[in-house]
Amino acid sequence: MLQITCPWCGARAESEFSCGGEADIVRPLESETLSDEAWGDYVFMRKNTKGVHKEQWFHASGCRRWFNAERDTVTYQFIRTYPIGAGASGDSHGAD
Amino acid sequence: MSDQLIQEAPLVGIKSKLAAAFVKGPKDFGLVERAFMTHVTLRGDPDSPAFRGAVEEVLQLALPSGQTITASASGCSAVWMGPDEWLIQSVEETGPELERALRQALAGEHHAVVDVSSGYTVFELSGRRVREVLAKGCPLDLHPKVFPVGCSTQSHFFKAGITVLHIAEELYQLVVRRSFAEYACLMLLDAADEFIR
Repeated sequence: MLQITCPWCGARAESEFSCGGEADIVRPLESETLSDEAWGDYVFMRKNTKGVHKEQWFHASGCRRWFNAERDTVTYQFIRTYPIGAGASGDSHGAD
Repeated sequence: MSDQLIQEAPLVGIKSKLAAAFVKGPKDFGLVERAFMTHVTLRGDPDSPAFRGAVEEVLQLALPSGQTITASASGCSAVWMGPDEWLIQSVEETGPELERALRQALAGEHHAVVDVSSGYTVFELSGRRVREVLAKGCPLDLHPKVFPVGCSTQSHFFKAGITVLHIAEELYQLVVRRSFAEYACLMLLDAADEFIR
């Protein structure tokens, strides 16, 4: 089974996690002045990256915490996982 | 009429099935329900000395900061559930008192304390086959080198969310949601079938 490294619990089986889609999507400020197209972009449009993709993951059957992951969508390899907000320079955990 | 209510253990519906499964006694694998234990969920800032101090004063134990269990002399234990969450467990039915005492001690601190005793039940699993039975539905590495006595963590047993507590060499406790208790127990019996026949 694929193993995912939770920033708090360490390497665990994939079946304990659920994926929450693309990470780092920022809700637009002043949404009342936003055009329909821009609002639609925010709500519906997602990247469909081939290669390294930033995603949100949830340790559903574990510590029940959300975190971010960089995952290669071609090889399924998790490059690193890190707490949300830790960003590029935060604690990184190597993939297996 | 409320004084006539009788507490029912979550496994009451499959009591006879459970008894029938262990007619030969728990030899290689045993399963006993420890119903009505006290469970209190505690949340707060683990880095706040005031929070830790207040909790440790009430419970007389040190809150674990990793996937372990700590116990007090009075039979209370704290189980790590997440970076800012713990499960306080006690064999005595003292949920409301514990909740009140913690709330009083933590007044003014950022915290959450909830008595969740009625939402959970505990299975005590024992025997030399206990790891094999658990491993059939739980993806954790249960080898004693990785998951030694005193460790605890959350995972799943087939479709049921569980908290696994390693109590002694061949003794584990599963904290299971009440609504999943019957399912989890039947799946455990099914997994243990080859060892209890």
